[in-house]
Amino acid sequence: MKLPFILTVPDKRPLEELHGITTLLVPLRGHTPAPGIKKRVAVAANTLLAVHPDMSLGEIHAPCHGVIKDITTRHIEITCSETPPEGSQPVAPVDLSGLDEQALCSALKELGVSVRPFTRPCKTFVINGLNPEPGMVYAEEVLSSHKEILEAALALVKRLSPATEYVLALPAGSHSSLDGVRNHFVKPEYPISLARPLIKSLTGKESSADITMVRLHDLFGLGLVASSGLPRTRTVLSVQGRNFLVPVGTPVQTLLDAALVSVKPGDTVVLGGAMRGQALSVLRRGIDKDSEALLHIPAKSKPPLEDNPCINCGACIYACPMRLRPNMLSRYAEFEQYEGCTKEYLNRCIECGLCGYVCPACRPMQQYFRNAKKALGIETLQRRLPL
Amino acid sequence: MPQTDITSLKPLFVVETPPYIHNGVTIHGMMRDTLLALAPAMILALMAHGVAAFRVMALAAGVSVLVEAMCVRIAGQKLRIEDGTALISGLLLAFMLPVQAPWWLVTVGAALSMILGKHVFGGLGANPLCTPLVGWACLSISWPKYMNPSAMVLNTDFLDPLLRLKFFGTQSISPETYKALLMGEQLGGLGSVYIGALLLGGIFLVARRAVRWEIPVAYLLTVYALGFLLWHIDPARYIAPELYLLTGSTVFAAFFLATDHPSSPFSIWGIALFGVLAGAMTVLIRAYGTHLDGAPFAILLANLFTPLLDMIRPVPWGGRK
Ligand code: SF4
Ligand code: SF4
Repeated sequence: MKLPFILTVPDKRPLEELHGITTLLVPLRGHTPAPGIKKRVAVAANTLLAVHPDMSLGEIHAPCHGVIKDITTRHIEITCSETPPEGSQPVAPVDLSGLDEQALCSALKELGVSVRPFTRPCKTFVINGLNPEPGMVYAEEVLSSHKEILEAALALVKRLSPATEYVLALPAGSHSSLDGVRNHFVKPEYPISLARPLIKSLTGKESSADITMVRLHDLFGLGLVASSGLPRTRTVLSVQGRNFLVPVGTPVQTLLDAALVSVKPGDTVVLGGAMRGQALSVLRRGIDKDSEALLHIPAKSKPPLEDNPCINCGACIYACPMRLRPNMLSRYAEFEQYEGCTKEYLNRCIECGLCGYVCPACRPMQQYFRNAKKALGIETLQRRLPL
Repeated sequence: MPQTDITSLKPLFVVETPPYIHNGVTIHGMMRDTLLALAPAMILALMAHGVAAFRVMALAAGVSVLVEAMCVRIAGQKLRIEDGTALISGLLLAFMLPVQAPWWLVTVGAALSMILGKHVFGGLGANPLCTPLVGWACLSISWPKYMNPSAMVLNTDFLDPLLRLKFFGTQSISPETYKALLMGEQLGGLGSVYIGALLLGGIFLVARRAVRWEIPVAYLLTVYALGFLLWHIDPARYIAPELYLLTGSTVFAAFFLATDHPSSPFSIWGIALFGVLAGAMTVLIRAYGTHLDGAPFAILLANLFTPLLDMIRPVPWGGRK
């Protein structure tokens, strides 16, 4: 097994909670502030903060009691307090039982859940119980110690999804299970945790028709809502090999401090996994509902990306799980010959990052692919990849 | 756009695209490994020929680096001398030259390699032919006399096995001399004669993943298999199969020339066929051609097939559409 790509950890890593958070930077993704949300307004935890017209994007709520300090296009800054501040209205849980499918969808959107993955037409619903990327270590813990949350989510999913079969993908040797869900074991080595390779291992076919796959992370998020009736304001993520269950909007700096990481100039801080995450330019940024990991990459721990030409070594071709020719793809993209990218099946690329991992010329492969995908109107990771 | 105050971004972090981990094999590392792989043969050459060998190697490497710097400047590209590709090209050329090669021959060869073998095509990564072989081929055709190791060395006990096998009969080299051949006690290129040392270096290169193992394996197997076939048909007319490997620059070519990344194919089948093609041509040139050492020209010819072999491609995930 290639060492950096093993997706399991041998020991238990419990979900730690953080106390005494003073500031939250709740990220907005094109959301507009809800009526009455202005600077200096006092809010109780779970108050509606911002809304989005898209049915498939959840609304945003206050993860804690506090006063709104600032509102920008990127986030709402809240100064937290232990108790509800004066002038705030408490928020009551919502009863989700007895709602029909339509009403349940809107109720969940209003509770901050992005419902689309759970309602997608399919026959088989796959829960990806693997840590999706190197650097994420929360899956085992969530599966073993927070099973009731997952099962609460599953009960809702069964009301929303047309699927007739439920499958839980697990690393070989795992003892986890969910009620009424068939286990499917795989060798836990990246990139098996990504949708297309996982579906191939499940069905033997290279097609994702009739199959929906959700990450354990998304199911857990739904479970937090389902089990409490309160909005989605917390998320689980791995920071440098430890797991945290923290409010959405927790500043990156706060998490790094909690994990005892000191970042120096020239280092890289990655929100997300080591293979597909996003490098941050500032630490004053709140984590989002779908943030799964926070990594600190010390300076000089890898050769820097360079605009070197491809030397045709073929290493990337060996590495590509989609059997593409990343060398040709990246060259076409580099010289903006995007028709060439189409001919080389750019739309099959899942941005797994393996070609960049092996490239001896240290070419910025993902950069090339994202540019080309943008030019060709193919969805990229920044705008969630399709299955 | 409001001006971003750069001081507000302190401390400055490195923002790159994923992935944020790397397997550590870089061009620079590959060249360092190649240098290490060449080192045993280099040391043997220095021990055997002293200053003469040093002169050729240093001159070839130096000229290569200088010419590369010039070409890069003229083309307005980024200077990448530190990646070591020019240095290695120069050394590889030196390995194929006779120790006694005059200074102008070395200079012209190294300069031609760099210009015709690399930079007219666009520099690093764009060469369709193995760079040092281009210079070598120009020299071999233009000044065959100076490139002939036995003409350049007058008083020596070593034999030129290629000459012997060609003109003194296939039995003129007996198995007793194999060990000597392996240790480089023969006439030939300055470094390419140290078969044993090069084999060691080649294995190191493969282990370090600086070259793909498929090329040398396919190449050497083909040479041996075809050599065996011919010898089986008529042992009086054709040399024993192991002699293809023990003499000439076959082993050197297998690990250091055929594996040149830009001029060899990239897909697995392409690579395998490339090795077979080069191997077959090596044997055919040695058995029937006028040229004594088959390997360098065989590699050059195989290089020409690379674009064709690169048309072999895997079926992408989900099938062709
Ligand atoms: S990122 Fe590279 S290796 Fe991964 S699917 Fe895309 S081309 Fe292939
Ligand atoms: S790994 Fe990098 S240098 Fe090698 S063929 Fe692929 S893109 Fe080119």
